Amino acid sequence: MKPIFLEMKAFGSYKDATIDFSQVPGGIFLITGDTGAGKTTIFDAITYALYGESSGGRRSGSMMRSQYAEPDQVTSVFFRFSYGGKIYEIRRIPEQVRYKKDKDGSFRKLKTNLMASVSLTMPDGSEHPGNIAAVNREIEKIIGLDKAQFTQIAMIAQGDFLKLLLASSDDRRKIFARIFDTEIYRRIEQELRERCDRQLGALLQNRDHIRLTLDKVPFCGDEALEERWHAFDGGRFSENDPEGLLALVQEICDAWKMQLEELDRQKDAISKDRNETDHQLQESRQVSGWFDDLQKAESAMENLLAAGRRIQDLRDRLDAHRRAQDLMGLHAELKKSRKDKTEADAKLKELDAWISEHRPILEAAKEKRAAAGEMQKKLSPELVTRIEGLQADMPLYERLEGLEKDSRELKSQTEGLRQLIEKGTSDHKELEQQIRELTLTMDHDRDEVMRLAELKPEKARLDDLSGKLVRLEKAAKDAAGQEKKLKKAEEAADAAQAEAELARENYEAVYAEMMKDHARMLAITLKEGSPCPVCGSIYHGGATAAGGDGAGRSSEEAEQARAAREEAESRLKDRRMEAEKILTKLTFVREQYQSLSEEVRETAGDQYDPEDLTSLRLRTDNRREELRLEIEKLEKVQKKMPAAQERLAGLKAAMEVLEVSGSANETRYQETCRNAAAAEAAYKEAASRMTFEDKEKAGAALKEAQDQLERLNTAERTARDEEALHIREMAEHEGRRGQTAGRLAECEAALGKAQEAFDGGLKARQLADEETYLKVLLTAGEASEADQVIRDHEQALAATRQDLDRLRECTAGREKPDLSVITARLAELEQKIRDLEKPIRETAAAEKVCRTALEDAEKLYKKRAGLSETYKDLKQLSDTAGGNVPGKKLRFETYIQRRYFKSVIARANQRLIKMSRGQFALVCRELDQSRGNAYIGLDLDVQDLVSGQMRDVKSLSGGESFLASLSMALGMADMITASHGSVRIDTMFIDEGFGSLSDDVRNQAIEVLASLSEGSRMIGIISHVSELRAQIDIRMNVTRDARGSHAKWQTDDQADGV
Amino acid sequence: MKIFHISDLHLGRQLGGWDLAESQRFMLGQIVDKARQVRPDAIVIAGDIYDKAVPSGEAFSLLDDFLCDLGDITPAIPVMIIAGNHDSAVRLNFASSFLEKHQIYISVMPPQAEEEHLKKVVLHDEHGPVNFYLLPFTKPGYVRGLFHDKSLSYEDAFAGILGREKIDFSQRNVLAAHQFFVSGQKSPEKCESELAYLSVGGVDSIDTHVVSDFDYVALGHIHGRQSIGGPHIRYSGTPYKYSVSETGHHKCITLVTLGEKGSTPEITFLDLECKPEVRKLRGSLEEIIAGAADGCDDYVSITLMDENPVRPRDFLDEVFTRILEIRVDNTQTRTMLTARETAEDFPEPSSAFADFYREINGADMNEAQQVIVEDVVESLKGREENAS
Repeated sequence: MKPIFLEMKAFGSYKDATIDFSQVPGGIFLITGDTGAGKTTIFDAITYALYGESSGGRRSGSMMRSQYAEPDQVTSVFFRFSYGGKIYEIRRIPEQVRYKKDKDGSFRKLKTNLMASVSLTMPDGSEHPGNIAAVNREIEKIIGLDKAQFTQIAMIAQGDFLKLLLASSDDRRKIFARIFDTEIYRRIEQELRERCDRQLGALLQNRDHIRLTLDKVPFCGDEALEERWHAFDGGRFSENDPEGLLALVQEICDAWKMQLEELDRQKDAISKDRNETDHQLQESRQVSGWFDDLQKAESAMENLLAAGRRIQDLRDRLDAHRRAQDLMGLHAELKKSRKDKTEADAKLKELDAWISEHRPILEAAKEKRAAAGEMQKKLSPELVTRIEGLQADMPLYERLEGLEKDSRELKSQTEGLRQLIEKGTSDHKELEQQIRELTLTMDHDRDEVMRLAELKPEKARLDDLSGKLVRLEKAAKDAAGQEKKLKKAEEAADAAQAEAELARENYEAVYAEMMKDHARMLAITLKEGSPCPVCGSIYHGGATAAGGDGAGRSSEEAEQARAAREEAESRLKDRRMEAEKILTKLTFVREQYQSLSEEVRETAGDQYDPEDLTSLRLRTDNRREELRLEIEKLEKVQKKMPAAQERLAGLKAAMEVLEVSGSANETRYQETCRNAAAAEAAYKEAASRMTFEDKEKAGAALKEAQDQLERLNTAERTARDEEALHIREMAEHEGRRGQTAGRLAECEAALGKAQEAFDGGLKARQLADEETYLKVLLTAGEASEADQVIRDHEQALAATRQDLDRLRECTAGREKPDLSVITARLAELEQKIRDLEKPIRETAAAEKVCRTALEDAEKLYKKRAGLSETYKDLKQLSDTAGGNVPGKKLRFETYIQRRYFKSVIARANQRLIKMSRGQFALVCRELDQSRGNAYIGLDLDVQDLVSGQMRDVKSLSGGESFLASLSMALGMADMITASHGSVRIDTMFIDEGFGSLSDDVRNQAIEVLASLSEGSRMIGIISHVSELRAQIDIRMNVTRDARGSHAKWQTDDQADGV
Repeated sequence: MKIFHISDLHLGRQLGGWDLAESQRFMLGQIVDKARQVRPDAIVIAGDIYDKAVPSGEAFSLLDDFLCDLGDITPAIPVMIIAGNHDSAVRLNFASSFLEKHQIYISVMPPQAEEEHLKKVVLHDEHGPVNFYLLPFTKPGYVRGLFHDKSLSYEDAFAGILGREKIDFSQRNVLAAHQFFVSGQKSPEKCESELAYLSVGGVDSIDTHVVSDFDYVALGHIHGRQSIGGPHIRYSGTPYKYSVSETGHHKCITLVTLGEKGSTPEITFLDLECKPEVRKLRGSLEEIIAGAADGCDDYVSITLMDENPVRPRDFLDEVFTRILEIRVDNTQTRTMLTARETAEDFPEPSSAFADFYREINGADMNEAQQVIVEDVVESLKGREENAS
């Protein structure tokens, strides 16, 4: 990952900043600035842009938000970077509170937060379609490092730097687990442990199975076995001697088998005896049966013979029936002839009845037809004539209608015109009225406006007067005020005068007193005979006596009094000057007042009363206000006048138009009235000539006549049709009656012939008459039944006879045997067999259970051997992986981490030895020194290469710690690059730490970093160490002012002012 | 005309935590003595007067005394000083106008405005005038204002500054500069002292062809004495051994004798004694102590080759008074320095387990156990793939 461009909006201490990394050609560059200027924020922004979390793990917008941004500015970070020569862009916005700017410039917090979002643009310009989680995964895929790895090796934050070095063994284990993903090793441990537990479970389960299986084995009470039985836990399980246990079970099984075989033998012997007895019983039963059958056959024979009489009767009846049966055809013919004759009779009677009933109806129809014909002939000519007349008149009625319509239209036109004329007249009147009024108003306005010429000058004069009055009033007030002040000042001056005089007197008194004292003091110190320094006298006695009270005034007091006097006099002088100043002012104000007063008198004339200025001013102002309103009103009127003139001209023009159209309407009205009268006359004349009032009524009369004619014709036609129908029906019925009479005669002849033939038949078959014939005749069922009865009887007789012969032969010379003895013996034997069945069944079952259990147990023991073997292997694996081998308490994951750790240390040392000038190296502490803790084995020691002594890494100095940390980070980077072949770490940022280095060591560190950069890798050092600025040409200066942080590439335009 | 060419005084420098003030005072004293004997016509100090941008008070007084002592020599010898990359321009420039009245010429910044030019000092001898051009340490950014070119290289900047001067090459000209010069593919021999200050990839290198027209070029910056790109373009080297890597150097004043125009300047070296000496000792503890008869008070960097040194510092402290560093070069440290990554670093989980098992149990897994472990690893991998 190589940064190209970074933009921070409202992020951290940046309000809106961009950083162009493309200027950095590669190698080491420095981000420098004061503590708190925002160096680390740049670092945070890159980490946040890539991973959605700042290096400190913050992700909410409010925490990253800039205090310098306007509330409505959205916090966002945009980062363009290249990886493997391809360019990616990512923009992230953290979740944040939204604000809206109101019109008054204040901000209002919105209810919903702006949600976090991200947009990643791929090298082909497309945007990654996934959500935040997907983009985060994509970034990890692109860069090949997750956030933990990134912040440990590519962007080493202030706090993280020493973390790896100084972490406790357990913390380091967590870091390693995260960075090198040793999860799978821990899972291998866990999986092995779980498998081992499962295997143990399977072993225990197998034992329970064996126990359960062998528990089912029934013990057969062999005392020889019993002892061994108990030795094996009731014969259920043995861990050590499964073969012995299984042999015991086999013996039990064999014992059961022998018992079963003995029982089977007993059962077979009894069964044989039973079968013989059974056979004997069968034979005896057969002989006994023969005796019983013979007895039955004899009795049946007797019965058959007894039925002989009844069979003979049946034969006779059957014979008579057969004779009568021959006549059945003739008898049927006879019956048919009788029936035909009866039917013909009935038909004839029916037809006669119909004819006699319909003859009168036919007559009535004939009469009705005649009457209708008569009526038609009489009425139709007249009706035809009438219809023709009316039809001819129809056009005349149509013409009449036309005339009537014309007349009506003309009348309505007349009415319309009349209304138009009336409206014209009223409009005209109204216009006249308006013109009159408008003219009057205009005249009035014109007069009013004339007055403006007088009003305006008057107002100007009054405005002037008012101004003067105000000034005059002020002057009067000022004068009064100054007078008052003057009076006060004069009073003060007088008072000061009095004070000054008092002070002066006082001083003089004090001074005189003092002079006296002086003289006295001199006198005291003088000795007689020595000259006085003042007067030169050598006599002083009198002077001493004149010393007075001796408590005279001192010169200090005199000095005080003199000062008081001077002060009072100066005060007096000030007061006087003040009073004079006021007087001058007053004179000036009075003059002002006089000149103003003259001016006012000139303007106001006799209205002016100097004593009452206020009322004059009020009057003047009132009048001014009146005038102002008046002038305003008149000017408005003046403005409106041209519009009124225009309106008047418009009204006059409208009136002219109205007059012209009125006379035209009058002419048209007269003409239309004349036309209307003529049309009405024409209509009336035409109407008087017609029969009916109008076309409608004439039409109704025509229709009436036509309907009447139609009714007559219809009545005649109907009567004729009815008559024809009746005539046709009558002729038909009469024809049919003739036919029926003929057929009756034929039937009577046929009947006679049939009677004769039947009677002849009866005689020939010796049957008395038709009645006997009917009696002898049997139905078909009866006949065949009788026949069957006779035949059955004959067969039974024959069979019975045969049986009798056979049975008599069998039984000849035998006795009937006694069955009960044999049956009793058989029952006894069968009971014995049944008694044996239960023990056999039970024994067989026991044997089977025993055998099955044995087989199952054998299988389970075989399986147990395999389980046991695997368990042993697994237990050893699990114990090894989990650090449970006695004396070797190293867990697998720890072992792997130690391997990684040692690799990292080896790589770190290559740099550390160089940077520390061969002074020390890092060493992974040997295991047994870590007090055998199975978890941890990642303790770090430092070896003093010179003395070979080991010490704890925490004992390193600050600078040494920095070097060791840097080496560890570089070693880690090497490891990650090596373990993820595709990961390229093109950029490294190191935040602080250089401050703790001495010059020599810092130079070594820079040298190692410079060689690391290999010209193309970017190594950013974030530091405020000033010496670094001299060493690193490419620098970014970070500053912070009232508007937030600023980052600027610094070119070396000026030598550093250090 | 005789010229003393020295550079890289690095006043105030420390060596392995030892304060070098006394050594430097002795060194400067030698230079004053030589000046007194040889009476050169000029002394050129080509940069890095101080070791730090913010020198210590003692460093200031060293220079003060040095200039004072030189000033005592009559007739006065002009001294020309340019700022190096270690110097702070502002600080070195202090009182320079005043000093100029005493023939001490100091130049700390290249010209930065149109009207500014290089400091030029003209001296005369029997062959006529010699023009000294003083060009202090320059980064392209310092003169960007002159050339309005953003992508100005060190060489462009340097050549550009010289190009602005109207140098009369019919006369004799001497240039003092403090830069990293190369000649075609050839670079000067470097030592540890300057490595941290040189840009990787050589962006700061300037080819000597831009200065080859000068009669003599007095350079500073590189600590080893050498010429580059011609006998008349020279680094004088430091007057004292300022790092262990310089123990093999022979420290001198470069004495340049300029003849008439066109003749090759004559170069001779006036030896300077380093006191105390800086030395590198290498061998077993026993050997080093045995061979320590002389020079027990020298600055020594000791490399012990014993496989198992036992409290060596105690023994050495007893013998040597000024130990710069004690290093150990034995099988252990060599292994540490050369260890490269192997496939062993990232074993497959199952083979890692096999190693682990062997280490813990002292024997390999049996076949069934191998099958179990492989199965466990496969199933976990499968689970992981399903999960992801």
